[in-house]
Amino acid sequence: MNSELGKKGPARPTGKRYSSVQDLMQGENIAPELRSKVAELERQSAVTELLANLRVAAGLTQAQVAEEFGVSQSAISKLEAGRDDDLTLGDVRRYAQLTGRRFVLNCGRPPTHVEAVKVYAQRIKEHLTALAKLAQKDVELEGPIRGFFGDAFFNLLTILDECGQQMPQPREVQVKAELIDTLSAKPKASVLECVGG
Amino acid sequence: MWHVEPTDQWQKDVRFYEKKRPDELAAILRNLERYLSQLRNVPNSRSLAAGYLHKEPMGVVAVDQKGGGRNLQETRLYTYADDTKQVVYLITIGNKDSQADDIALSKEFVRGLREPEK
Repeated sequence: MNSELGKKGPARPTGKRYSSVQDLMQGENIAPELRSKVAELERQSAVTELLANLRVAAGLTQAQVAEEFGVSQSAISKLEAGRDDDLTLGDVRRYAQLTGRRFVLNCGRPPTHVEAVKVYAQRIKEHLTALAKLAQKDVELEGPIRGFFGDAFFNLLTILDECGQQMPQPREVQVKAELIDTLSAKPKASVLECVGG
Repeated sequence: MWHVEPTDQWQKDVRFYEKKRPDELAAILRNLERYLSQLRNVPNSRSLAAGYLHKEPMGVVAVDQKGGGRNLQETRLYTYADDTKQVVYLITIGNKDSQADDIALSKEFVRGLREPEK
């Protein structure tokens, strides 16, 4: 037995389940400094992770990619487990081609808040659509996913409500609607008047 | 959707690594993230292969510290993915010295998981 780690007993499930490593670290009270280290590693390898996921989703093995690239399988393994700084644009382009994806390099100003909200809204829509498809395929998942949709609906409305409450109070406005006599095209009567406070 | 479930042994190991080997722990947690991310794209966990994953007996998969930086001690997080429940059990964390014992412990854990199914 390794003296550094001490004697280990039989492992038993704890019954605590987490949907992501972030949740796991939070739920298991992992120190904030360590969580920052994990986040930093994530930032350094987001693209290599994406490439590996594209390959897996396309049903390709590392050996197949290696053959296409004219390199060894271990080189692909190293690339996918490595850091973004070690990638070339050519690597990314070739992964995109191999997996039937479009490679778009976008350098520009950061998105405005409105643009960012639109992008996130689109992403939320994509994920919810994917979940709905999952529910169609798997009867067991239908209930939990339906529940999640309910939660998501409530949460999104709550977010909108909370943010809306941070808006300044509206200034006094007057809305006047007039009923027009379409034959004479003359204002007939003022029928609605709203005053906002 | 895949979930992770720690064991009591993993919880003890994490406390040790948090204090003594934080860089190694961060690296294997990052690779666990990658593993979960890839699992979402495959129909069967057994079909997954990656440089940081090592297949051990009885379906146990060890996640290593690769990609976490240089001069890290070889460290492995032993896991077992239950495809039916879509749960990855986090069994234990160890180094090269504890490898044989960790694999034995992991196999015992998997045997225990499978027993009630008989």
